[in-house]
Amino acid sequence: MTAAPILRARQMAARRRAGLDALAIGLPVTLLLAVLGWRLFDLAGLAGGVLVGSAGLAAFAFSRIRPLDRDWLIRQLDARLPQFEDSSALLFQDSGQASGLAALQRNRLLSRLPQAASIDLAPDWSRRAITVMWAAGAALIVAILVVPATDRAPGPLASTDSKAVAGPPRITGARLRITPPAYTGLPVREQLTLDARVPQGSRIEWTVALDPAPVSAALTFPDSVPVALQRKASSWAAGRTIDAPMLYRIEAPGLARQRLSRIDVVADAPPEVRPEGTVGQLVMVRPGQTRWTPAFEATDDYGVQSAALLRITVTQGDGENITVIQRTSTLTGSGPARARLFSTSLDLAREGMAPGSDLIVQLVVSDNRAPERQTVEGPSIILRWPSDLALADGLDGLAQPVMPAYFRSQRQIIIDTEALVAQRRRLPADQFVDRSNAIGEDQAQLRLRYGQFMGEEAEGGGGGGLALPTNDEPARPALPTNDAEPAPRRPAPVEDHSGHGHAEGEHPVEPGSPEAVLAQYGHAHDTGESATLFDPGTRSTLAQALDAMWSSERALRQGRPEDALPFANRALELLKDAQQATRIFLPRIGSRLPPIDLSRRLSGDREGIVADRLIRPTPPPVDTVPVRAWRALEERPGSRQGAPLPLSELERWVASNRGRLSDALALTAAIDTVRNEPGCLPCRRRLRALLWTALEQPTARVQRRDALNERGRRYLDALE
Amino acid sequence: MIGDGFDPRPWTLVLIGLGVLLGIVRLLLWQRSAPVAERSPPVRLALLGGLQMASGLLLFLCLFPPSDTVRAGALFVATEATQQPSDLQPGDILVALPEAGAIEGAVRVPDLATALRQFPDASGIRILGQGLPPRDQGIAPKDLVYDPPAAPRGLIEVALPDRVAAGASFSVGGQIGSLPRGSIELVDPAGTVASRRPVAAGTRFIVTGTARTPELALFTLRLRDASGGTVEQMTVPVQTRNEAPPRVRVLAGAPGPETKFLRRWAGEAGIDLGLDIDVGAGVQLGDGRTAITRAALADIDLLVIDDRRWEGLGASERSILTDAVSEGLGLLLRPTGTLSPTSRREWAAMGAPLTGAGDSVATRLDPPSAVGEQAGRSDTRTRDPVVELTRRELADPGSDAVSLLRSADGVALASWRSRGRGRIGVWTITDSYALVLTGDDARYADLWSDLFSTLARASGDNPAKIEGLVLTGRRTQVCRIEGTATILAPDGTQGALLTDPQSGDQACGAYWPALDGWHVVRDGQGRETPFYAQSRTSAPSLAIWADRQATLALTGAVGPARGTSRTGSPGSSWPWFAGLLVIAALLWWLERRRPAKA
Repeated sequence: MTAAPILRARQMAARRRAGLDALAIGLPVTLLLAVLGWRLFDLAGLAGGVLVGSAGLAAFAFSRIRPLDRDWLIRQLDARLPQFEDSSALLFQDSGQASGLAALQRNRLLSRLPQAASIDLAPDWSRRAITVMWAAGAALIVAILVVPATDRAPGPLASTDSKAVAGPPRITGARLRITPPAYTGLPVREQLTLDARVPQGSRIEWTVALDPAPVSAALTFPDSVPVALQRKASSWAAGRTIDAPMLYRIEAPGLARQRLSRIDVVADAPPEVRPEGTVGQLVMVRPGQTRWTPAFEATDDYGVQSAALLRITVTQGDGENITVIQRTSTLTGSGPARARLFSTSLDLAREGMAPGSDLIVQLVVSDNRAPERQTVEGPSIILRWPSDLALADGLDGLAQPVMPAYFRSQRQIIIDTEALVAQRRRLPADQFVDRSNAIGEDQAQLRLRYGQFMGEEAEGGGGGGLALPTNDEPARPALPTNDAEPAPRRPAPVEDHSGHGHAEGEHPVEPGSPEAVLAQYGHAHDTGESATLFDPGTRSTLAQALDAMWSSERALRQGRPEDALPFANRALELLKDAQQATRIFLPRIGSRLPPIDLSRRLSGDREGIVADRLIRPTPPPVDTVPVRAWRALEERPGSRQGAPLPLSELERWVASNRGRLSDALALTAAIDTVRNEPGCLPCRRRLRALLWTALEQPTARVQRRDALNERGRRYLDALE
Repeated sequence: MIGDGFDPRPWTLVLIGLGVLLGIVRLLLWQRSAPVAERSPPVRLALLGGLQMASGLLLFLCLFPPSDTVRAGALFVATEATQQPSDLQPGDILVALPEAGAIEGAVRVPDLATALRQFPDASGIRILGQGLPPRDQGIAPKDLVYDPPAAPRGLIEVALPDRVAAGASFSVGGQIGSLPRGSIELVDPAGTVASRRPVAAGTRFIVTGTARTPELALFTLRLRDASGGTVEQMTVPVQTRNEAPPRVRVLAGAPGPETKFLRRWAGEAGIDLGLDIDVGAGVQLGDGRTAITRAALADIDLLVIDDRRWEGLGASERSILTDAVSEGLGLLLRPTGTLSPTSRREWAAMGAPLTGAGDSVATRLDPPSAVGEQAGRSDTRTRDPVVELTRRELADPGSDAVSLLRSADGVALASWRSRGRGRIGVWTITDSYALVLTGDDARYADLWSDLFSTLARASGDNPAKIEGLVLTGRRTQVCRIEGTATILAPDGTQGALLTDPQSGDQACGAYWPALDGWHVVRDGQGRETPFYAQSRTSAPSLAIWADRQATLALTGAVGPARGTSRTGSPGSSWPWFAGLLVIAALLWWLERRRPAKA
């Protein structure tokens, strides 16, 4: 065999280089074909272009590689290596075939073979061709990507023939390139109509083709400064960021006045936070619970920031001695940007929870709007640890968590006291005092209980000012609760709001609170905010009863039950009185009667009693601007046809009533169109249709019935 | 046809029969007299007899050929949407009116009258297709035969509102043809659906809208099928006129919320309403004393009075009031408590006989019409349920009484009768102000607007009146024309309107609108009455149904005109004569032939 693996390797290297070179030269053509195909025939074109281009490229590369065969190698070796003495061909002959001198020469060459290892047979990179091809390819690709777009845009306003004609310029095509703000993540889109609906903050770039080209052109906005259109080759371009809905038109010297086009804006909605996994906003601590995992879902139309702030408020203490600890922590949301889930696990002990504490969490999220974010404080969830939960420890909530407080009734106290008085002789003195004191304690409990009806000030005398247990004053520091109902998810899932009842949902009643007492023993018809629970008579009766109880208690505690008895009996009577006065009165407001003239009273004197003249109500104005415009746009033949149309007045009216109108922009555009094209009947009809929405609905008036003719009158007279 | 006096056929038949009988008898006699050997076989004898009878019959038919071979055909009249008739028989004549499409073999005629003149001897007239157009309805004979096609799908009847008070609601009623299921909607001029109702084939519907500012507005009545596609739509022209508001005086025996809210509404509606409350003992509240004199009552259009105040009126005042009503004043009686027998008697004498105990009972108005989406403030009307009102249990049982308002369970809450030129109404609701308090002030205003509109004195201004629905290309009747009237078409052309002297003091004239859109009738005094001509293409079922019903009304009670009558022209005798000749020759040959003696 030939001993030429080294030479073969040289050849292979050369072939590789030639192939790569061919690929480098031909690749732009393939890309060009692919882009052209995509532009002309979309995806199928892209695939076809790639296929055809690759085939061509392969053929081209093969044609560049094929000449580098053995003969070429021999020629190259002979040319490059003088040591081979033009006999390289011998190296590729079979050793058996060579004879004589040839074999001798071959052996010589074989011994010099290592010298061939250093030569580089690979052809040079054809740099120029590659540069030219890539540059031309890139230019053509860009041209293909850009040019057909304008070619494809005959434009809604364009007339069909695109031949250049002399005369006033016309709009032959228009393209809007809408770039939504980056944070929305929406793709850039293009459209050929001038009316658009874009996300707030989008940038719109107009490309307008005008034929023949005018001197200048601009986009004019009725409400703001115009934007000049810059000339670029055959088209005109301008851009603007859109923050509010607006009207505009394209203007150029000589260009016929265009109708106003409209750009609507879709505002970014603030994010919405919804508690996840809880029904309602109040959660009770389960017995044995040590950790709590509140979860929120935050949704937004474009995306919620993954970092959110969790406000944690812990209340400690009971009654009036409540301290509030607030802290915040940062949460990181999970899930897709448009519906992120925020969750954290709180250790109750570390947060400082104790029986009677509330743990309130509130999530503050912001969306990714630029430039400034929209931050929303979500609804708060309250974890409540009832103070007497410990009673049910170990029973797993089977037992009633709130035990009713038992205490003796006033009647029972009287009976006990009488029994004690009866036993006085048989009892030792200190035991008698003890028992009397015990009854006094019962009396105190009862007094405190009733005192709760009357406010805590009833303690110790009760005669003073009666602060009623209303919710007029906050009993605690204001908590950062957000009592608003959690907003529903944006697609408005069907939610069961049955948990929002009055009993447990919004206003949880703390056991033992005045409301609870009222709920247990009374029946309130009104809301706590506006209630005065008892009429003044009942209140004073109750106050007197408390007074009597206090006196009874004092006597009992001093070991003088006989003295306590009259007070106890009186308290009982008063309590019964108060029980019978079950009505709850609300003060009525509004009737302010004039003072009674007592000098006339029962005298029968009616002299000078004259009622005030009633003030005639002024009817609302009838002939408003829209009414006049509505009338002037009437399509009735006859005398009223040429009524002047108060367009300017109407425009001013629209500008000043913008907030009241459902679609002021459309009305403005319609007014503008009617002004510019007075003869356009559909435009007038459209303006009239829009005016209907602007018209006030008047109060129903009266329609007079038609009079009869002479014969009819005679007939009716004869009927009588 | 042979003269009616004498029919020779029976006599001829008797003569021929006698001849045949004689011939047969002669044959038998010959047979008997012949020697036995020469007697004919009985077969020949029977054959001869039979042939003689046949020849007699043929002779009769030859003399009196039967005429049923040619019948006088019916006149088939092809009208709009006629299919090619398949059941034509010889003799029938097919004519096609201009409305009919291409009908093969039909004689084109410009109208039915021409067809009747061209074919005067047609035995009957049979109408094909959708029916005769109004042009031909007047001259068509009363015994047409018409087998109407199925009802069209769309709107077959529509009652458009007459003039509407500004701000008041109006209703559009109608009937649906054969559309199996769909919905009807009233669309306001801005394109918002004001009222929507589901409909099915043959249902009647009422949809309501609300007029706004005075002048002309075009609503749209749209019929949609079950899939939401528009089947038909037509324009609902709504005219509101700025009219002189009525002068109203309210007399009450005590102040109350009813009068207060009435006054408030009247102020908003621009009605000149004076309130006069007599609280007794000479103390008077309100806008001032209303004098009950002839002159003062002639100056006002409507007097509202409650029972307490009525009882306070003197006898002369009551009679002046009654006379004023006869002269055109409107009077609204407002019982607020138990009516005294005297008041009852007096009201009955005046023309408001009331029955019922007069107790206070609860009532409820109709829930507002099923409104899908309603624009503006009429959203309050969609509220359900309607507030409960109180009424006095009083009713006018007379058949003359027209009820203006009924409760949800059908009790008349307001009714009126005419007395002379005026009207007397009774309003039994005592707390209609509750509607305002519950936010339904639009309904309140509607109720009182309706009440006042009906009862108040008629206005003297009487413009021309347009009867019925106006469709382009069809006859429109304009009545109450004063002087020489002209009609202005939407394109501005004017045409004189001639008054038909036969219409008497109705003073009507006819007009055929060519364009759809607003027209104006301008009468001799320069007053203008607009009317709207509907395009016939948008709701074609209306015209089709009208023609069909009018044509059906022209059909007679007689049965179908097919083949009942025949022409009197006698048929040809020649075939019968040839038959007679053949039979006679056969008879002759058979008689002559002697069997050869063997």
